[in-house]
Amino acid sequence: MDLTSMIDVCFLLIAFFIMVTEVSKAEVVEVFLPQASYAEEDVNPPDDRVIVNITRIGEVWIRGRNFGKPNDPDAKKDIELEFKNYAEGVPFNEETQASELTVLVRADAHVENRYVQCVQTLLVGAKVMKLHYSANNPSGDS
Amino acid sequence: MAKEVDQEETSLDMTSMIDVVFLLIIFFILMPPKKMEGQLQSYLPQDGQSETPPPKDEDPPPKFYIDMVSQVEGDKVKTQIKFNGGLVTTVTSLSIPALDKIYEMPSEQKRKILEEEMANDEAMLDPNVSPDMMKLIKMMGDAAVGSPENKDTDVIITATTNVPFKVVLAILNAGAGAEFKNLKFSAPDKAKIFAPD
Repeated sequence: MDLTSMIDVCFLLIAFFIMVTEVSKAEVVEVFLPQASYAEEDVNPPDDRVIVNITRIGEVWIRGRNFGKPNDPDAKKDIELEFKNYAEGVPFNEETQASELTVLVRADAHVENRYVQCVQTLLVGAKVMKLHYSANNPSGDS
Repeated sequence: MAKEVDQEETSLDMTSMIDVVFLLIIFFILMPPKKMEGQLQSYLPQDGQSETPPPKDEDPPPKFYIDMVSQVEGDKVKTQIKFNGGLVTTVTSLSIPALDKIYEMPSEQKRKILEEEMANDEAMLDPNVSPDMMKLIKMMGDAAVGSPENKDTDVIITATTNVPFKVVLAILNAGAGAEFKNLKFSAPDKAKIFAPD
C-alpha cells in the first residue's frame, strides 16, 4: 500500500498544529474581551507587534510572562523596561516623534480602567502613540 | 516495423489520503465557531503633555470631548457618558466586588450570569441596538457637520479610574462608527492610577 500521500498530509497537520499552539501560547492569555460592532478585522499584523494582555484583576501579561499589576512599583519598573526594549527595536518616526512600534492591548471587559491607563502611561513613556484594542465583533463583520 | 513498448499500468492509491482529508473535514466542521477578534484604534497623548493642554492661538483646542465618570453603588457601577459636557446616557454594569463573587461561582452558573451581562452590555453599548449610543454617534456626526475635515478633528476621551474598560471601548467603537479618525486619550493623573490598591 502506498502510504506516501498520507504521511505527507500527516506531517503537514503536525506542523500546522505545532505552529498554531506555539504562537497562541506565547502571546495570548484568556480574557473576557469586550464587544465592539465596528471593530476591524485584524489582518496582516506586523511580526514585531507586541500584545499586552490585561486580566480582569489587572495583571499584565506580555509574551507569556506575568508582570503583575502595573500599579505595583516593581511591576511598573519591569513593564516600563520591557516597553522601552521593544520600542528601541523598531524605527523611530522623527516627524511624529513617536516609535513605530505596534501594540495590541487585549484587556478584559471587566477590568478597571486604571490598569489600562497605567499601561497607556507606560507606553507613552516609551514614546508609543498608536494603540490597538482587541474586541469581539458580535456580528462577525469587519 | 512495430516497436514493442512496455505498457506498465501506473496507479496511485488515494485511499489513505482521502481518509485523512475526510478526518480533517470532520474536524473543521465540528470545531466550535471562533468569534472574530477585531480591533479598534486610538492614540495616546505625547509624553510630557499636561492633563488639559492650554489653548494657544496657533493651536486651536480640539472640538470634541467625551467624558466618562463612574460611581460605585453596591453591586453596580453607574457610568455617565458626556459629550462636550452634556450628559448622553448612564450605563449600569457589575461592580468589582460583585464580579469577584461571580468568578467564585461554579462554572455553569458563572457562564450564565456573564452571558446575561453580555446581552445587557449589547443592549446598552452597541450602537446597532442601543438608541443612546446611536444618539451619541449622531451627536458626533452633527458636531462634525460643516467641513469634511472635521472628521479628522481630535476627539479627546477622558475616563475616571473606576470606569469598566468595556465602557471605554464602547466609546472607541462609537467613535469608529461616527468615522472619526483621531480618537485620543487624555493624559491621566499619574498619582491616582499608580496608587497602590
